[in-house]
Amino acid sequence: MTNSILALCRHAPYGTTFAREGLEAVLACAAMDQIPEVLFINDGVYQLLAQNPQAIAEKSLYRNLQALPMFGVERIYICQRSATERGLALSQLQLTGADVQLLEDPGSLIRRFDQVLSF
Amino acid sequence: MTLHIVNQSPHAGSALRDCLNAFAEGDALLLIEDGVYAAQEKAPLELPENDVFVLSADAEARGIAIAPDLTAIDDLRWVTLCVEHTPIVSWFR
Repeated sequence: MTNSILALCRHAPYGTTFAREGLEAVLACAAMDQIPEVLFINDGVYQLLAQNPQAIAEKSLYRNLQALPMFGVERIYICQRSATERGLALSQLQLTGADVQLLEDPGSLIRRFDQVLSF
Repeated sequence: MTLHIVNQSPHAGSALRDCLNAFAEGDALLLIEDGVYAAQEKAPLELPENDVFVLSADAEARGIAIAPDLTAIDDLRWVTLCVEHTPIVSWFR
């Protein structure tokens, strides 16, 4: 019986390693045929903004995020409140190849899973 | 239902506020470590009416009196809570 897994991505990219570690964990799970669902919430929504981190000598997290659909994560969720609080429109938070869904009530999504990994 | 665990002071970060924003009816909240600073009588954030648990060892260690409407628990009860709830979500940073 496979467990359903949700990755809760709560942190902005670059400032800490949470975003990258979270993405690597999601891709690792997906590679083992345990395809998690992903919810970007709180500062995690910033991970979906267009980025250009060459100036701080960092690899683009956004580019690596684009691997998600190839690994089977076809749908990603974004917390509506988190985006609005930060003045971000859905149009700015797109991910090519993935169906991006704005979520009004993250609590009801979270409780549907067996396991929740927070990053 | 979901068990949310918060170990950050409500005055030091957004973990508790973020958790409460993702809290659904019927979920449970457990305050441990610095999270117990939210368990005082005049806490900065309004906690849910019921199913709010506080680890008494952490509160005692920090000289925090747990508000009477919250439930003080020990480690054993914590384990039971984890068994009774799925999933468990950690709001640690």
